[in-house]
Amino acid sequence: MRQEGDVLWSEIARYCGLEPENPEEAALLERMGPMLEALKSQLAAVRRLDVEGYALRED
Amino acid sequence: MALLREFPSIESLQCAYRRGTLSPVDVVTETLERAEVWQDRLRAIVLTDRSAALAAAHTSERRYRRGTAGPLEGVPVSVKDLMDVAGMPTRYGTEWLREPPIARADARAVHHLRAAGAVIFAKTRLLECAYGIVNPKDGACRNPWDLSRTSGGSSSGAAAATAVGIGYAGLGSDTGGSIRIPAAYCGVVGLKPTYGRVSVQGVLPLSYTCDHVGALARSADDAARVLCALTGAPYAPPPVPEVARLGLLAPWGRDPVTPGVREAFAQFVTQLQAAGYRVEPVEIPELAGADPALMTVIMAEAAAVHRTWLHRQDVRYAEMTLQQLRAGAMIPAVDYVQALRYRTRLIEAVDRALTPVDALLSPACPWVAPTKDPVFGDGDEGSAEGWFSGPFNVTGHPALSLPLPTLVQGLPVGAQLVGRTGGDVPLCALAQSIQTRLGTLRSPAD
Repeated sequence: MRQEGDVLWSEIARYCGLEPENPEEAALLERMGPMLEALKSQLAAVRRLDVEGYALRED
Repeated sequence: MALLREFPSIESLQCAYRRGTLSPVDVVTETLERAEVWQDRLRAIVLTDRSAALAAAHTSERRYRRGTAGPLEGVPVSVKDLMDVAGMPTRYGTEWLREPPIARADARAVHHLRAAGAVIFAKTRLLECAYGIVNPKDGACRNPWDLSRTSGGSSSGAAAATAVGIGYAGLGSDTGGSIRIPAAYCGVVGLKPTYGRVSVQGVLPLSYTCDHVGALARSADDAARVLCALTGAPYAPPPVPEVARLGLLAPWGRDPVTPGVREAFAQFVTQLQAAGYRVEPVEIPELAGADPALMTVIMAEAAAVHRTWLHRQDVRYAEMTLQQLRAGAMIPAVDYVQALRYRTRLIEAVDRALTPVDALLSPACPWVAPTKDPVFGDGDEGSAEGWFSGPFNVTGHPALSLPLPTLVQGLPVGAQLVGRTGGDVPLCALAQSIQTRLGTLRSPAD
């Protein structure tokens, strides 16, 4: 079962314009594996940031 | 070389211009010659415009004679090839545009420099689209202290050129440390001004939130003069407090500093104390979240900037640039917003830390110039390179990289000073007082 924070890269990639059906782009997605793993950790760290009470900019 | 020794600063250069003992035409001619002499070794320059530069120098000469010289009159300044200079192509350190556009107008920052009398003589090399990666087809700019090493990035050409006297300053941009890191590697001053202080109009964006246009120069005073020209403000440095207070940033998260830099920086702190600066430890625990917030904002915004080009068949990015841009497009909006909210918290924390001190102090970079640029934000090395610089791209506080007066293994080391929002010129004045009291680093051309 998918948990909050799980990212299905192929789905997102498709939505973002990458075409996993296209062999060239599928190969790119494959090569991006390590970067996407790092991105996953980065986004997990962002989700842990405590921003309670903070808006996008100072008032 | 004689030029640098006799006129090491913008002030000394302009003093000679005013006396009529030196001509801007001679200085610009020598600058262009110097660019040629170093080009094969450094590859700092992408393009020069000899005739336009000499025409501008002649104009400056006339203005000195008439007494109408501007604040940067006759000072040769280079421009990072990410910014538009009218009549010159803007290549962005990449080959993804086979026909690079010829700029029809100057970027706003370049316009301000020209209005102040600066002579724009060259475009300088950078990492691809300022995104932390050398485009293999474009090649790297080498470090003038050791040609086997990198000059850093992304404002690599500006740092290397300024270090050897190819111009008195270089215009650069800084999104995660792209002015301060090459400045530290090449032994020059790199000033990232307060966010929004200098216009980014006419500059290819990387991150709307974190981009800053600033200056690389051989002294903090020179950087202040360029900054004032960039903003149209009169050059009027305030007095430095008799006992300036520096908040030494305690390590946050990990501590990536290498032993050589650690030792040199500790010695520098001791020298500061001996010279009368009050150095006290400061903790900002919120800095621990700065790196993921910075990377999330930059990656998402860079993908937005490049969105229309990413799908064009004629556009060929270097592999790692392409991967970073594609990965950035996959960042969920909720995470991007979370990172921006953290930015607000971090700004407040840094403001609080700056209240009792005149500036924050840290190393500018954890190590001396490596042989190869780590990919920005990628892996331990990629994120550690901007460990000290990146947080202040998130917060927008002015930050400056200052070369330590001594070398480590024959290479320069930078210290970073961070000032209050809007306190760019006082920050430069403080940095200049340190250079005056502790001494300046020689040029690698000496």
